[in-house]
Amino acid sequence: MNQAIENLLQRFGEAVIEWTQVSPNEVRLTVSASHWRDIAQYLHDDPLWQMDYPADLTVWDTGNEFGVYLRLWSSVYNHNVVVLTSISREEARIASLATLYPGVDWHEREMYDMYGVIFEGHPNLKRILLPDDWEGFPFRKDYVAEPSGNPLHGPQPVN
Amino acid sequence: MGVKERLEKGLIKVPGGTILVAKLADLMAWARKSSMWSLTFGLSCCAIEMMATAASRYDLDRFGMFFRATPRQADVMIVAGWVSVKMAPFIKRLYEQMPEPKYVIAMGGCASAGGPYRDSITIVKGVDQFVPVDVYVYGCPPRPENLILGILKLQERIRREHLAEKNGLPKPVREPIIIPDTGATG
Amino acid sequence: MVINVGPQHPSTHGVLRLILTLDGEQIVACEPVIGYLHRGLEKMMERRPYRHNIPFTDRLDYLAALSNNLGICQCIERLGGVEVPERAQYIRVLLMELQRIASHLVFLGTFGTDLGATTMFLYAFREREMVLDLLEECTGARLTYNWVRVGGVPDDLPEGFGQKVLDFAKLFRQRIEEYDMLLTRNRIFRSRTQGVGVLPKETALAYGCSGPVARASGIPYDIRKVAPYEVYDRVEFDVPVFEDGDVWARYLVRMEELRQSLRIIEQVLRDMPDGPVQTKLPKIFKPPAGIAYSRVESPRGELSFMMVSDGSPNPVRVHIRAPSFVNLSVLPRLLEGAKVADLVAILGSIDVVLGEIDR
Repeated sequence: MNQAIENLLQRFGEAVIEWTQVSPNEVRLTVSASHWRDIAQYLHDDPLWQMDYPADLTVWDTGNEFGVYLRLWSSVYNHNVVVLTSISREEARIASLATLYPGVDWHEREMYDMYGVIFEGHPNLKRILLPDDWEGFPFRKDYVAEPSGNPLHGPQPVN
Repeated sequence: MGVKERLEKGLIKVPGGTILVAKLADLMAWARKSSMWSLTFGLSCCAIEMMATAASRYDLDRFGMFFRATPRQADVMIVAGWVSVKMAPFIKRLYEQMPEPKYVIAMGGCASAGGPYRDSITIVKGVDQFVPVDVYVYGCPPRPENLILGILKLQERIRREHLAEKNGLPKPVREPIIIPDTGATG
Repeated sequence: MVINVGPQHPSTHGVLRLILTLDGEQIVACEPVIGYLHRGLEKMMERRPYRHNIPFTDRLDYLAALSNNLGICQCIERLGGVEVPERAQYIRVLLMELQRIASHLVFLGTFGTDLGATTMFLYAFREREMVLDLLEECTGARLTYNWVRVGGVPDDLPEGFGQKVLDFAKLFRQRIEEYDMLLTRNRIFRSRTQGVGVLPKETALAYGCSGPVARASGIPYDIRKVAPYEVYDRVEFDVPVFEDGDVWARYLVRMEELRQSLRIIEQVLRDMPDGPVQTKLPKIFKPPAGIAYSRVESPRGELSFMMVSDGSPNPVRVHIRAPSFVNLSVLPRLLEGAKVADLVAILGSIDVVLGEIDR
């Protein structure tokens, strides 16, 4: 694992903002959003990493910005990587990993549905859980909605 | 009055055999309540308890009830689970596809009043917002015994119901029956 | 021809809608439409203190409610650095394995019904009622148990519980033989499931499939072995892995898991130490700021909770990675080129629970 981390840091330099080795087989990286796809591709292809299993991808709202969280596992080495980054709320865009890991396809759609984050390069970015005609992105911290009066329709967003 | 006594009251011996005489409304009510076919409408956790009620231990078939997938052949719709805004139009459409006379049992807290999701923005606060409900069975999920009690009370009401409006009798106003949640030991 | 399956359909396991494009009998494309049970649980959890969210998790994967409870409690424990006493860990494992048996019995019952073998439904639910009796005696509920707390379990096992579980285990071993007689040795069942819905190993890995779906495709991924939690590293059990990746293999994986769960239960009852069952926590529980995740092997696969904390009593974010959500995303690939008649068998073999897909 140590050699793999060294190679990664050598390859990407300042794109890796921070890293910690949480346990002998788990690393947590904070990276810059512009290198999101490149780092994921490297982790997938590099023979010392071989992260072939996409476990989880999600977004959360700190109030000031959106954090993005990606968790990968390697079935060859049994090690885990958690990759974190942050993107701005006004321009909520990040590269899509759906063509690299088909498993994050639906996760990205759900994050678009809930937060309005655009995943550039996603083959089918549309709402997945909420009704297709829903307005607004409910999981954002500034989402306010009032009841619409019709019990069969969801609430209307105020902002 | 028991079945045997009522039968004996209605038996008339005529040359060649015996004929049974009964009120048509009674016979129809008895037939309708003894074979209520319900629409398989399990949405979530309550559906599992509904399946358990229909399974080996709490057999629903002995009450004449079993599940039909198509609304055209169903008499009663057991809404088991929470109703979301996306699903509500389908429930309304299925209810309208069922032929009269039809009944609705709202099973569980979610179908009755929204359940634990009252502050969720995508959940309709009870299925009675858009379909008329006859029996509310509370619980999260309700025990199979409570669901059976709800079905039996509905059967009792059907037995006493008269469908004929032509005789000048008005259709009775259906007050909903409420089965409270009595806890684990029932 | 475009056909709409669901959301109300006799064979879907929950409210799932499939838009199928057919060419005669063959399925050309399939688009699953989900979200009919969406409640926004993750958002509702942000408004409540950490421990108030445990009952919500029961209703996620409602067939394996205890696994969900364990998942969220482990996540909160990792965030807050809470230790769990040893007896509590053994009790948790015992309850998880009983829950696994109950969940796989529902799979067997509904899978049999989907294929037309309705007798299996009645047999499976007969045994499931016995498991539910045991769990009800311990936890007080039949389906939504809410019986794992941050720091342990709420209360100890009742008197004589161990002996009742062992009696059940002895009876259940014979019943598994009955199921074998009904389904595994049934020629019609085999011809309907063998070679149908094959999921290659690379596809399963790339899509993130876990649980019996992955193990039937040759990936030996069981979190109880790969990243053991509670006392799974102290009990001996095998993990069934098959190479074929078809519906038959997924069925066999779950049947074998029933036997292995009994093995684990017997060892746990033999080795359980005495001691406390819950670590006391302060009334207002504020874990330090940070991000933590936990993963458990639910009967459907890798169930993972991720929580973000900022030091306040309520979480900033709770994310639930549901195994059925990811396993269902591979369905369009599985159905490409399959016949319409096999749709029900393939969908049933993935064993999805819509509660956790839609959250």
